[in-house]
Amino acid sequence: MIELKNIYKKFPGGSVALNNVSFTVEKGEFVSLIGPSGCGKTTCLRTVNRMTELTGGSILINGKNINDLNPTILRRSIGYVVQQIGLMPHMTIYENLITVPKLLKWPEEELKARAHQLIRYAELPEEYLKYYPAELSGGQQQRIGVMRAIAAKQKIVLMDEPFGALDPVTRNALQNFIIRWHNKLNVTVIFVTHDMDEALKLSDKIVIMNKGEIVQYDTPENLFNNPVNGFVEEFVGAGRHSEGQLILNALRPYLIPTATVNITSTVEDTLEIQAEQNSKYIYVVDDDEKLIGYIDADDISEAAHDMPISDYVKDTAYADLDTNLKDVLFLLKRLDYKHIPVVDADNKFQGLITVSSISSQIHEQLLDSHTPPTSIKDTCKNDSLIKKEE
Amino acid sequence: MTVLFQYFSENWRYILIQSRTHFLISLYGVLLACLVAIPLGILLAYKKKSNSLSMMIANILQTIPSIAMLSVLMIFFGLGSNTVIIANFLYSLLPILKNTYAGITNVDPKLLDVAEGLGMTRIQRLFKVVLPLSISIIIGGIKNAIVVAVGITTVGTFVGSGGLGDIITRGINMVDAGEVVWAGAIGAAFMAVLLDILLGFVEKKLTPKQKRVSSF
Ligand SMILES: Nc1ncnc2c1ncn2[C@@H]1O[C@H](COP(=O)(O)OP(=O)(O)OP(=O)(O)O)[C@@H](O)[C@H]1O
Ligand SMILES: [Mg+2]
Repeated sequence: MIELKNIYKKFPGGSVALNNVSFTVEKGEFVSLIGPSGCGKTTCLRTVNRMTELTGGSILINGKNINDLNPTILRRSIGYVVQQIGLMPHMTIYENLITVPKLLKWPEEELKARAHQLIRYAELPEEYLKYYPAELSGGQQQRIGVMRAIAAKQKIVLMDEPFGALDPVTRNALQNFIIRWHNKLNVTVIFVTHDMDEALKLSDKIVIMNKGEIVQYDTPENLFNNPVNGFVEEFVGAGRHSEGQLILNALRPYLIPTATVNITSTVEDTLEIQAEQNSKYIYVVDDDEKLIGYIDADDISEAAHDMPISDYVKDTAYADLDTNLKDVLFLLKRLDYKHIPVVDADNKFQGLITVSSISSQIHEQLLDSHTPPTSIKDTCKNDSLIKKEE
Repeated sequence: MTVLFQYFSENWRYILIQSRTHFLISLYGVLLACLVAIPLGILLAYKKKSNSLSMMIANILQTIPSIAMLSVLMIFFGLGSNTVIIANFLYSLLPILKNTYAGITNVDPKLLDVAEGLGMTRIQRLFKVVLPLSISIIIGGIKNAIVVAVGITTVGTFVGSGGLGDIITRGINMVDAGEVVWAGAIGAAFMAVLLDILLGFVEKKLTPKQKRVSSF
């Protein structure tokens, strides 16, 4: 767990880069920092591995104040990925990957084994270990950059616009790679980006910053549904209409958070939740929040209240978080479902998507980018109706 | 021509001994300069001081004619090879200092930032990142220094240092012995060219490899 408590940073030059910034990142969470250029994202990120020293406030990692730790030792325990040239050009991929384990004096055999494991995680052929960074494409280099950041089994990784310099196609592939990687390895990530789509696609939570302060720290859903002010609204909106288009490549914005029931629950518990939700279908998950199936309320209405629900669970169709929105719409229509559950790459239940949740989101996205006509009269041809409105 | 060959074949042992002396006097001066100029260059580069006092002094030293330098040094250190070694040392400071400074300031600061972020100490950054990326430029400076030193050492015969210059003066003092002058001059030139090629090779060898198969 990383706790930033009222951190304050004033550069010798005199500008205040961070003012009273506080937020907590839970273990295993993926948190993005986003905001206009110069708002302090990089500065904030770099305070966590003490590349930038705080002027005020404190940062705790698992309860320990980082100022009580040796900065070099601290940095070896935190992965660091930067934009573009992160790899050492004079070292082979092998040497680059094992930089930190080597600093930590791992024995030679372990270094070798680790490098082979990492190149597999990077989804690259093993012979690449002998290559030099200049021989790899930008996307491949950045996969290595990400792997180097966890080579010594770091549990925290800081990333500063790691995909900023990549073309959209490579970028998208790398984002999907990061999602797979994050789900598999359960590291805590703080990720700086200025691309709202990217933040929405990857993050559990997003910190929206402006002028050195936090404007809102929330889940993507809440940023959409309850923006604290116009700035957030506009910022989240800007992401939704990048290049004037709807978000099609990420389902998060369209999700409705929904209560689930654990597979070990009884019929009684389930009926209670069902009454609360006012829905005929209740989704069933296991202890890891992984989706198992659903319960049709009709099936259990007659059952004994202390019966376990496991006998009544039915299989369900579901969609992945990174499914294209059009495919989901097609699925809903094809299956004639009212809603479809959405899971992340780990099969964990994320929420429901319904035709109406999609349409209301699209509605908002379209209206947000819409400049209202100066004269309503010109647009709406019926004068009498407008008068009534006024 | 034949006289020259004859001189070489009759005096090869003497020429070899003088070449060895010549080489060592040049080498010692350059090595001493390395000990001073490389650390100094690193220091200046880290402090980003390109026109510091030490750089200025090295610059001025470079402009003093070799005869003048040797004469002044002789007043302090007397006759003999030590005076020439010191002159070589002084002349080598600038090329080595300049190249060390250039090589190190050329390393991308972003790489150093990453290295620090990965948890390398200052010393580790120097030895694992800065020096590997700048060593070939530093060797280039040493190469320039040693070529100059071989020339200075030739003049060093005037302060009684020995070396190939001795052969040249001996030839000048003898009547009708052009081949002796030639032997000394060719020896010195040959040594300078050889060292230039040799260090040029080392320089290329140490250029940071960025591809598996290099072009040389
Ligand atoms: N080393 C420094 N010395 C002085 N001022 C600095 C330094 N680093 C950053 N700043 C200032 O602090 C503020 C925040 O900078 P920072 O780099 O954190 O912004 P950012 O949000 O990462 O911007 P971008 O999106 O452009 O990367 C800026 O006003 C910047 O000029
Ligand atoms: Mg930045």
